[in-house]
Amino acid sequence: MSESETTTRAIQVPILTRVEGEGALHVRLRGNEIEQVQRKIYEPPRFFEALLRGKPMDDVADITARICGICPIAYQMTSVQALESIQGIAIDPGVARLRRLMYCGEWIESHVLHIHLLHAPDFFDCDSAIELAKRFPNEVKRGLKLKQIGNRLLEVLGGRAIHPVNLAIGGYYRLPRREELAALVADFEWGLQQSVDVAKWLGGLSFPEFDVPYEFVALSCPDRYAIETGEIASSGHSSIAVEDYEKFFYEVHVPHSTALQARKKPRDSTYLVGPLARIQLNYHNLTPIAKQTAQAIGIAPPCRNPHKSILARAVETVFAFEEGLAILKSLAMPSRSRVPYEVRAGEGVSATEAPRGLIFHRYRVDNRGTVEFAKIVPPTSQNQAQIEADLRQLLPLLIACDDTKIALDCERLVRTYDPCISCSTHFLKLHIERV
Amino acid sequence: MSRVIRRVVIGIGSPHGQDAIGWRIVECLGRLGIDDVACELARTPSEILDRCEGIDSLHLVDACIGPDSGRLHQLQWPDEQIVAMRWTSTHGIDVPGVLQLATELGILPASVTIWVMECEGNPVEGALSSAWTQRIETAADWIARATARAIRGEIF
Repeated sequence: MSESETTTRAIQVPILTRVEGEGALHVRLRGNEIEQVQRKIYEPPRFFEALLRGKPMDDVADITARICGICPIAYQMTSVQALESIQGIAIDPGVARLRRLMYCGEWIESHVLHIHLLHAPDFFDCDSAIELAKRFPNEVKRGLKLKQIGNRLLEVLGGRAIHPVNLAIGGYYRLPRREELAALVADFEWGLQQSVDVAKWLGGLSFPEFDVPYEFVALSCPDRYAIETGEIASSGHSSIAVEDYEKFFYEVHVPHSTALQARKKPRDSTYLVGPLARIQLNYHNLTPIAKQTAQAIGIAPPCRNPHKSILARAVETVFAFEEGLAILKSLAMPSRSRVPYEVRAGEGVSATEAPRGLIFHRYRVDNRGTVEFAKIVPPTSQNQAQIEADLRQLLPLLIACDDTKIALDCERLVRTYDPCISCSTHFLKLHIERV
Repeated sequence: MSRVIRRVVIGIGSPHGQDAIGWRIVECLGRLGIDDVACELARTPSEILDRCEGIDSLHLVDACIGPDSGRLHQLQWPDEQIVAMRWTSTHGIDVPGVLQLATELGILPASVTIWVMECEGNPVEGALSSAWTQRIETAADWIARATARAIRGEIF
């Protein structure tokens, strides 16, 4: 932090902690005016889309899973579904249920990790999860056990918990054994009960007053809480088909970031994806215990406070256990692991709900099944511009504060998004310049 | 009756570039097949927490940024040097943070050894060269022999 002259204040937070990846935040203030807010991402771009070109489509799920260590299933599932649409494959309903169950595992892992190790420390004025663990050892241990249940599920369905390999075009390479899944029922029963307790613990927190006029965007289904399929719903317009995503949303390159930023046509507006958007748009489709929990802890619509996204993640954790348990208890094992198909050329898209929000993929393959084109729009790049807009709304409320307080509150706001910079480059240093 | 594994080696990293060093070394260790040692991979340091409980000895293998590419360091936790190092992981909470957290939660194994191999430049870009393959095999062999001696009670 430094102050160069009376009208100029420059604040630097060299590293914004507790986010996934590396980046920085630059704020320039001229007197009491906010001149510039830039969320800088300098993690090197990893060119996955270019890497996919020329690869056989069977390799796509394996390659895209490598984009993110936290949400490999989101990348795998979205890519596989897009390729299945090109090949005209209708998967076995039993396989579809297993895939939804698998996605529940990833939501549990990702949400529980963010709640306990990255976000909750902010509400207890703790600098880190280590400090939180000193004060709330039982709560943190409980969080770790819940996360382990998500791991175990991914191990059973994905072949292994780290870098899962089992998802295939048309289904799975190998179906899990029924007894492997049955063994998870007791864990999910415990997890459901404990996740409600986590939500109640968080429901007792005090949240800063800060409402943002968000346009929420998320997948939506008429009959269930959307995860792996659905139309694209918005609080600002009627639902659109996933095929029309690029007619309404586009990405732009901004000079200060190695990640693209998404905007919405026609007014180049920002929008919000993720747990808060999903709960606001799809509340009616939450499972009964999750809905009850949402009401009890104050995250039922309308809620436009980004700080309450920790509650949205807690409710979705309850949902993932409840939904997962229902699938585990009613599972009819598919008769075959995957549907055979004849390779054909074409173009296809898919969108699913990654833990951090909507993810969109588009692929074109030739008649030998070689990828000619790939486009991947992760949730964090869709939220980038909205994060900057939120900061522009927050900063006038902080302008009279000292630089340390401004830096801390900006960091906290960014963390509510659970941004994954590794996904979008695609962390954060904060630099505030007062001119 | 299945044996209880009390010693775990975890490679930390990803499949990308020099970030894959920890994984490749632990995969080599797995092929060497050391008795009573479980070889596992982690993509983010927080995953170490899932394997801390119920074991006596934890070995972590990771890459670090350093000037002497390929040099293998053996460190015993706790160590100020470990906290001061620049870790290649960027995922939310780093290795020293995870070990401090495990200590607070009372789940840290009695012995924690960290093996780090120095690498230079951007850790996640490009592919590992054949020179790296040789370094990785040598490192795996070294760690395997050290671990075998530890099991016999000769060191650690």
